[in-house]
Amino acid sequence: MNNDLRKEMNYSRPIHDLRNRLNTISMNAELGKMILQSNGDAEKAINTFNIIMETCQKSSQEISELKKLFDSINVQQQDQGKR
Amino acid sequence: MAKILLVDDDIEFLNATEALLGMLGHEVDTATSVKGAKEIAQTGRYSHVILDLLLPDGSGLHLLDEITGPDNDEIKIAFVTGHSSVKSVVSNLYGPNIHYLLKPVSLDDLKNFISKQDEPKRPKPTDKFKKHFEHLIGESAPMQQLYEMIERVSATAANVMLIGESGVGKEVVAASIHQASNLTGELVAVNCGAFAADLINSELFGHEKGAFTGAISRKIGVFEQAQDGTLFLDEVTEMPIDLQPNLLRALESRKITRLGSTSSMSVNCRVISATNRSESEIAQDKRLREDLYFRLAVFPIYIPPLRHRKDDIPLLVKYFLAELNSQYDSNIKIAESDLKKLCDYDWPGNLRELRHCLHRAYIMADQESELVRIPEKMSSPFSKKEGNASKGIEFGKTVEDVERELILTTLDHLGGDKKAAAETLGLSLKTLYNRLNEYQISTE
Repeated sequence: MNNDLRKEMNYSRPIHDLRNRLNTISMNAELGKMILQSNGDAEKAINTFNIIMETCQKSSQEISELKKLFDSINVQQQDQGKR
Repeated sequence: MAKILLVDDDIEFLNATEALLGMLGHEVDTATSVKGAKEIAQTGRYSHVILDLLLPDGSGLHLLDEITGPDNDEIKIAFVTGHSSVKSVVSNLYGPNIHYLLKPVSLDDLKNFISKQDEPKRPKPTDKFKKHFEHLIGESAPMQQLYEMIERVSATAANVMLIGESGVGKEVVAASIHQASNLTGELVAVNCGAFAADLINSELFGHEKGAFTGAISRKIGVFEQAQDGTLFLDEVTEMPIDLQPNLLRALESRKITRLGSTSSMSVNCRVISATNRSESEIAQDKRLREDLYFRLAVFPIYIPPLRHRKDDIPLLVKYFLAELNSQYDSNIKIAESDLKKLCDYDWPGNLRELRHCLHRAYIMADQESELVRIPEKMSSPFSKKEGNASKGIEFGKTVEDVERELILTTLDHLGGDKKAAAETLGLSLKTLYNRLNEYQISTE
């Protein structure tokens, strides 16, 4: 398997998961807005904002994991270059 | 109010979207897997389905067959994906009515999808051309005669032999006869010249598993495939003569036996055969057994070459250009002077040559003026006409030989019309007849 293909396979899952986080943030933001505009139910609205913040935290962790993945692939490439 | 099925394995996205759509007044059912969605889809009819492409036990694509069908062709489907390139792949596979929502999805995206009307199908540019029997284009006198013959024979079960030069459209005429016949079975086409001699019987009649080395499973022959329909045998004169008795028996008895089988079965199909050899060539060269010929040519149809129906060339040119413009989303036209050039050429390769010439001219079209570029000189390496012309101008030939060839060529070009031939040659009709008698040229 060549390096480009290996990179693509390694990145695609974390990138897919990050997009899902953005999706969750987007939908909950829209929901929070609609709740406040329609019935003003503060508790429900706060719930959606809590979900947004938790998702942001998870995204941050996943970005760190992704960075580690980039770093390990870069190290492998440097090692291969030296041989 | 829409009834929506929402399928995604991301619980938080699923819950938020369900709540949003509920607040918009729609009825929403949810599932987190392909299996769960299949179970729910069986119990309800939905107006809209929103699917994640990647699910834990498969893909959203696996659900399409479950949720669409002839009873459900109004359902609107959207895939949720992070890649815009997915749209072209999905629409190529499943048609243009599949929508997609790009992550991160917004409320406007959802509202637009739910309220979107499917775009009405745009008529294709080729729809405005009248197609006889849904296949044939042309209004010239020879074509009107052809249409009448097709109409007459399609009301019967007679076998037809299509005789015409290469490129005149024999397969298209076969399709027209099949279309006009209103049969329940299919049109099955096979080229008798394309198979090795030892495979022809298997192709025509099928074989049982183990009938010969390599017969690893049962094969249905083309006669069975064409049951209650039409079997088109192209280049029937290329079939080896020693294999023709089997075909003759099938046509006479209307029964076939698969290779390796001990029992026969009845077959019921019209057989349309085709050849680019003339009847005299078929007989002289002994390409076809006489008894087989009469079984195949119960109703022979002669398809006119393009040079005998030049009135149709402008219409055909416009049709081929409309096809190319539709395919490549362009608006290329042809100048009147170029159209005249095309009408003046004899087209030894007939419609096939015309179509390819136009395609080449289209590729080389002037993009500024949007006009095709027809080459100054058109010729075909297979042109019999050029061969004949050069034959007439050889050292050692007499004037009588050259005159004889010129008269024959002119008559052939004009479809045997002596009056027109006399005018073209600059002779009176009486003089032409005298020449025909003198050179013993038969024009029967």
